Amino acid sequence: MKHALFALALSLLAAPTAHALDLGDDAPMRTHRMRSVDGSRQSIASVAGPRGTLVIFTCNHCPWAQAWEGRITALGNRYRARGIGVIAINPNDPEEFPEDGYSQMQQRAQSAGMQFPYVVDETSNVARAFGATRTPEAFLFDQEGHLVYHGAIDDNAQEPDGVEHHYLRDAMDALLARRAISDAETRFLGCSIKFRDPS
Amino acid sequence: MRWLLASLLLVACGEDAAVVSAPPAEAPSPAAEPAREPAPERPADWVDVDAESLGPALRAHESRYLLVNVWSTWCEPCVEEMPQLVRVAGEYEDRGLALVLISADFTTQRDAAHDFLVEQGAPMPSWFKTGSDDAFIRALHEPWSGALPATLLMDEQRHVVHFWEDPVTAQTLRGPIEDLIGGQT
Repeated sequence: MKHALFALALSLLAAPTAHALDLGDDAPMRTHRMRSVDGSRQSIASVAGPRGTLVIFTCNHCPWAQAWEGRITALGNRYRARGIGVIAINPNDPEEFPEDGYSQMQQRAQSAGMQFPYVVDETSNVARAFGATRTPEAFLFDQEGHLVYHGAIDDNAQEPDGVEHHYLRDAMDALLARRAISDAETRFLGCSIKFRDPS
Repeated sequence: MRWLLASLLLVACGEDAAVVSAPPAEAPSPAAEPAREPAPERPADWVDVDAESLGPALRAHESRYLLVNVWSTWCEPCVEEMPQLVRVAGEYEDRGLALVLISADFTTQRDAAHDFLVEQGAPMPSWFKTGSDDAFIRALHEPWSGALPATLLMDEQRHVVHFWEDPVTAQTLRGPIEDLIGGQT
């Protein structure tokens, strides 16, 4: 019995994240407030723009997130000004990667020039609720709050000049123009999210 | 063995599909580190695979069963699980299982990945993912999100019979491998 309980506990600790959101789904935990790098507490609802909302799970330590960081910042700043709310969420456990700690996030947001909240998912539960698995992973919602794009920033993390498909940019352009998004779900390689233990 | 595989890949994939890099030279390449004592065995060359060449390369592999692992030097769990992957795959080698490691590193990390595989005693030549992530991920296994590490157990038809989208251990690997290979010799 003891062994069975131990095995159960282990399996719960190792429990996979929920199935990722499907297109058309609403953002979960919309009103859950998270501490941003400026000290304020922000939620997906509080940043929502009049024309849509972009949620990106990202972090400091991941080389893929670093490679895309400049593009994430540029896209976030540009499209926020066009009416798409933007929030970057760090779901990683800084116990595993100290580089993902709050003060390091503050430094990164400043050096990158992020003009949108970069917040701490303190339980990793927001990432779990989204079914996010890696960083940097983008979820774009339309003005009604339905998921219209999920996936990569673009198709070439390593070489910005070698990008052939600007998936996220094209999705936001389509959203603003009320056009259908052609590549609405894309896959990419990234760092697996270092989830905190379920609380 | 490595040349047999390389030849099979070329035959199976055509010259444009799988890119097999130059044959191992006796002399170190210009980028190689100065020789250490004792001089390390020169690592085998990479086999580059992309979404198009991946399937043919897997089908052309001479081993009956494949344990495929996508990893990166940047991925800590990938690095941590590697010794167990190499060890368990080695235990079943005589029963037809081969380990196929696919590095998802940036090309700037090739040398670091190379050195790591040599340290680990991993089978060579090893594979290096190139081209579009999206197409590659879908070509390897449709349900895979792209999170690393990813490990797949494939049967003779290269159907995925078990998929781990999280770190593996010797213990978690052995059950599905035993189920697949059974009592075959």
